[in-house]
Formats: sequence, C-alpha cells, structure tokens
Amino acid sequence: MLLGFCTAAFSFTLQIHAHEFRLRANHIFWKNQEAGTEKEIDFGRGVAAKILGKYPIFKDEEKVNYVSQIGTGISAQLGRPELRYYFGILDTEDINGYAAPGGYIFVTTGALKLMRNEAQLAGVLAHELAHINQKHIVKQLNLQSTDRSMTSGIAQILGGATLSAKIALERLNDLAFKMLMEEGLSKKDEADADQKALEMLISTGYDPQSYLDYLSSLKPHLEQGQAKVLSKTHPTIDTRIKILSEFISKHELDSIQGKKNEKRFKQFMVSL
Amino acid sequence: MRDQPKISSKVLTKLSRGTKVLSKETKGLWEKVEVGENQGWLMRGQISDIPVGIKKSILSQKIRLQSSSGKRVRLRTFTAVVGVKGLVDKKGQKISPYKTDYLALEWLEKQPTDEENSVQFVTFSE
Repeated sequence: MLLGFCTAAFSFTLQIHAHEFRLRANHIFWKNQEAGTEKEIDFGRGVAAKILGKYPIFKDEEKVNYVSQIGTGISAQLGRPELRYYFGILDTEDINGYAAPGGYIFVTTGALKLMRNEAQLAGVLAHELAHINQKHIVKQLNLQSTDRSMTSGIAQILGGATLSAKIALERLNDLAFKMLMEEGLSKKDEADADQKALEMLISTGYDPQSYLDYLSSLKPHLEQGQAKVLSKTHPTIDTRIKILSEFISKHELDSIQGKKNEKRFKQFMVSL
Repeated sequence: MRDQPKISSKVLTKLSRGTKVLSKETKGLWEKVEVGENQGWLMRGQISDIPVGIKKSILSQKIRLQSSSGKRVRLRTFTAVVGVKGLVDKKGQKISPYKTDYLALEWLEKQPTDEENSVQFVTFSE
C-alpha cells in the first residue's frame, strides 16, 4: 500500500497537479495524532525555510528576544500545548506577518516600524498564532483524511521515506508558500484569525482597540505597495475592521481597555 | 475563572496552567467550567482539549529515512542538502522554484525561550 502510494506520488508530482494530489491525500488514513503533529512540524519547517529564502532573517538578538517573549507569553497560554512556537523577525520593508504550520511565526521589520505599542505587536503575533492553532493552511490544502484527524495526509506523505515522497512533500511546501505569498488563505480564515487575535489580546490583558488601530494604519501603505503581499493575500482593511467591529459589539467587548505598554515597546524598537 | 461570562465580572480564582476543568455550558466566547467543587466562566481560548503534559521537543528526535541511493540518512541532513543543492528530479531539473534558508531557520530554532519567564513578561503593565 505504502509502496503503491509512493510510486503514484512520483508520477504525478512531476506534473505538479495539486488537485490530483489532494484527492490522493484524502484517501489516506492516519490515526496517530502525535505522529500527525510531528509531520505537521516537518512540513511547516520546509515552508518556514522558504519564507527565510525570500526574506533574510533579522539577527538583532535583543529585538528578536523581545518579540519572542511577547509571542511565547501568549502561545504558552493560548497556543496548542503540543507545539513549540518560534518567533522570528524578517529583515524587509514589506509590512506583513507570516505563520508556517507547526509553530513558525514571523513579523517583518517593516511591520514593527509601523507599530506604535506592544499591544499592536501582540495582536499581529496572535493573528498568526491563530492561523497555526486553527491549522488554516493545512485545512486549505485539504490534507486531512476523511476521519478528520490532524494533518493526516501530510503524515502519510512524510511517512513515505523515499526520495519521491520527499519530492511530493516539496511540492506541498511550494503550494503552502504560494498560498502565503500570492493566493492568500480564505476570507473566512482571515476573519477568524482576526477575531481569535482579539480574544487572545483580551485574555492576556492587552488593549484590543490597538489591533484595530494597527489595521487602520496599514491603509496608506497598501496604496504605496509596501504591503503588496498583504493586500494581495488578505481581505481589504475596511472589510476586516467592519467584521471585527461587528464581533466587538456582538460580544459586548467595546468597553474593554487593556495595557498598551508603549514605553517598553519603544525602548526595544527605538533603534529600528 | 470569573463569576459571570463578562470580562468586567469578578475573578473568583486563578487557575494554574494544566488544571483540569470540566466544561458545562458555552455562551458566546465563554465556557462555564467546573473545577472540583467550584464553578465559573473562562474565555474559550484559555481551554484546550489537548493535555499540557504531552508537549515535547519533537525536533530533537532523529527521523531515519531512506534516500534513493539506499543509504539511510537523517531527515534534517536531507532537508539541509535539499536546501543547498535544490531538489532535482530524475532529469536533473529543479522542481522547486523557491529558495530556502535552513541556516537562518536553525539560528532561529537555537534562540533561547523560557515559557514561564515569557508569561511573566506579558503580565507586565505600564
């Protein structure tokens, strides 16, 4: 069965046929959840390496450590407990945040320069964290098996230990990377990540309004092209703010104020 | 854990990470939970159905796999080779148009993190 799958994988990956790939992946059963998580991490690692192939990593340890502490402080409480999360900075004027499956989260120096306080940083990291928590990429690639267990399709693909199985994985990595850089996730997933980000901000005592302020501050940059990838891959800012505002009034969250930690943020980011 | 499903409601008690709770009822963003003899409300994001204890460092495990030449190689070595050489098919054609940087990724993975310390760090308020 396994051998049969690998042979098939090789013949169609040469043609890079995503649809066929998904069909194949959907017929595979893999019930071991822990193994599924391991494979999700391996898969995400490949995607993260591609993100770092596009944008150089920013190695100012003090700033990386600050971003990582904010991210880890949130993920330790509200992330998936079976994952270890990594928070990195990408050295680019492009304004965006990225999440690769399995726990890899990035924010750009362009985005950090635009931010005014720690609550905004926490909000952007929380948005990315939500994509990983909800397994948006994995779900959009339609890689679950019919039993809906975690990342089963990926698990089976990586389970194949031959070179052809590795090529199949490489193709999947490319699809996920293209999704992040060009096609975007679904509008529903983006709205979901925005709402979850607000929930996380509230749970950790951060000011939720700061996140909406950050989204508004993106607007002029969308026109200038500094947030080209972001505008290509996300719903419009007006749509996002509208959905969040409805969410806020529905759950009576409008009176909530939280910490912004503007001074601490500026202290770390002043030299950026 | 709060008395009512509202952020302005009174905090009844603080639960430590990993505490087992029994979910009784859902209301919007809130879950009514039972802890021992106490009941109260938590925001849904604060609860997970995966036990905290199963977390482990998966990346440190060496995964054995077979390369096309029949030699057994470590996965991370394999991905590193792929990163440097570019993955090629039988005809020697590159199959991924995108560059990778595994050295940068490994640098990131080596950065120290401390969950407890970080949780403390985000509780700070100016």
